[in-house]
Amino acid sequence: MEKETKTEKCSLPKIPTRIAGLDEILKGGIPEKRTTIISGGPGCGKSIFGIEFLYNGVRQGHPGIYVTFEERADAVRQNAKTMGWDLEAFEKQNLLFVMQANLDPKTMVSGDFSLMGLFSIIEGKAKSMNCKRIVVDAIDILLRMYNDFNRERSEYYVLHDWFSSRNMTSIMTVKSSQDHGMATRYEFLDFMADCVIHLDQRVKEQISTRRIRVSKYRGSDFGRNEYPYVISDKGLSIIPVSTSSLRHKPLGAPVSSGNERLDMILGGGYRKASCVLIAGITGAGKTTLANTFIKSASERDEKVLYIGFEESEEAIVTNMLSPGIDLRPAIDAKKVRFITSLPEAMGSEEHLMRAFNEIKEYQPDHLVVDAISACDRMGSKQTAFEYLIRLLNHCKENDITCILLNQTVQSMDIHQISGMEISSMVDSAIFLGLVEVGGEVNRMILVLKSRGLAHSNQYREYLITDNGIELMDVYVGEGGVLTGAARQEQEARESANQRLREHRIMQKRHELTHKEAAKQAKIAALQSEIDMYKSELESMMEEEKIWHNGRDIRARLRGKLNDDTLNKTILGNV
Amino acid sequence: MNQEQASDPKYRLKLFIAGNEPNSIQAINNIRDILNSRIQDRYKLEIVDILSDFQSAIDHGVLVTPMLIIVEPSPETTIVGTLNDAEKVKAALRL
Repeated sequence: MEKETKTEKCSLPKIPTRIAGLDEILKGGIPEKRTTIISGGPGCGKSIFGIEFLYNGVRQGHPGIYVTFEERADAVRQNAKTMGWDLEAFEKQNLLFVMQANLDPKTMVSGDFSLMGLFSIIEGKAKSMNCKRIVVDAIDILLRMYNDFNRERSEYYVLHDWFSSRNMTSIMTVKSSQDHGMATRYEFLDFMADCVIHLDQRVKEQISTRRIRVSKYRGSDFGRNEYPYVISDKGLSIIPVSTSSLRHKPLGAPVSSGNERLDMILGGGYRKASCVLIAGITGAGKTTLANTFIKSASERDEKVLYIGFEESEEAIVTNMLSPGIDLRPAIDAKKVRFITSLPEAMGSEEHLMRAFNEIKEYQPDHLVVDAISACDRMGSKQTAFEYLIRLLNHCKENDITCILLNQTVQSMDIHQISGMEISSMVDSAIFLGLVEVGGEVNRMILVLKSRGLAHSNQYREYLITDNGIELMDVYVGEGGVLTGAARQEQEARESANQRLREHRIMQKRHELTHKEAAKQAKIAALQSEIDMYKSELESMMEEEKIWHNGRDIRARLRGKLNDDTLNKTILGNV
Repeated sequence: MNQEQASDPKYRLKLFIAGNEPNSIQAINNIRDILNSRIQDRYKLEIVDILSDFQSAIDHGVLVTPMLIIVEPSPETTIVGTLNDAEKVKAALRL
């Protein structure tokens, strides 16, 4: 059993409604033993509000009575069942009583009458059930039988007094509409009741949004803003963004982006529980980059929730195969879950609730939103902003890394690339751009911001290859970063220079060899000269010999004596 | 419960009242006047005080009092109020 919470400042006892987010706004719940008015137009969820309050109460051990003047009791039970509330089970235990209180429309009126029948039923039932909580839905249907507005009005007071005198906590639903006449018609109820809650459903740019506002709470403080709420398959949910205190956890350790070089540029990777914005124009590879991360996260056994507004799950999976990212194993291992829908399909609150419910159920480590630029289509810029702020808030509180993709125009301004004023929430920003250089378009990546990490602030060229994203080396020269052909040219120039230098060395080496060869050649030439001289000398000496031999022969021919004498003379002289 | 009956009633009526509320008393008087003046002993009138029998109120959907249910002649007809408009009541009874 649950004790009624009491606020510190005042002693006004309150009953928690346990409707998600509402007790925060009401600072504890609705006033105990008093009347609360829920007003709203058709389809606002007034009835669901009432049933949810009673159902939550019964689950805590507080019996409740639900009187419906408009719907059939069967329909109420059936509607409740769609929210997963089994009213019948509680009815059998005498903890809940759903009373169908509609008069036959053919009923004739003759003279004055009172609501004693209703009171008698409620009183009898309440006593038998020991019930202190009652919801009266659309009693205006009954009171209209008076066909007298003043009488109708006084009967509301009778009802109010009757509940008060019996210490019952009551909720009455009242119709309201944008129509001014109606608004003033039931204005007195706002004065009568102790707590007044307005539900409002408005359609703006073809998308319906629901707002809740507490306009009065006697003796208690309350959240005074308009808060968005949704009716999901789990009942009413109010998202009080402005009351939610910032309970953000500090950024966690870096987790790999799935690309080693990008990790280096980021200073280690994305920080856990941080908000990463990947911005770029269409075709820049935002989705590829996000899925690179998903792939690596799934391999690390981390879960990723993918909120897609642009493509279906099948389309994403198929498209990612071309840059070599196969998500199917991750999907099979339940490491990635897709929720895809068109932004126009529902209001931002419903989108938000879907996301919240998925987060609650799936407990992801990371979240990808593809793309936040599409969120504008949920309604207006303001709606998209609220959606994102609340989603980011929720993720930060739950330690979930947010990867936001945003389609932008060609601009490096961080406010521009975030597309809306969420830049203060963004911890890391990566810009993917296309740069036109020398008649061709090249992909460029720049880390604009990486909170808490030392990151590179240099542009890099990247390619989307069959093996995912590949970051090129940085070239920083006089002309900034060079990409594509220009980069290749630069590379070619550099390699030419290199070759030139190598060539020069080679040349010198050759020259040296030549010199060596020349030296050798010269040596050889001199040698041959020497040899030549040698051989000349030899031949001359041979001639000399021959000449001497010839002289001898001649001498012999001329007469041996003379020659001998002469020869002897010569020899003697010699 | 208070019954005023004939041996073979052609008219069967149920009047739901809330104790001795003025409009309940008026209704009892009004219906008796009409019945006695027109169909004397051919009717059966059942008077139910929902303050002492709230289950009957639930069973018959009696949200307001006084409430007259004309069971016979069929089809069943309901009139709420003090039944001060005799012509209306007579028309409902098809008199």
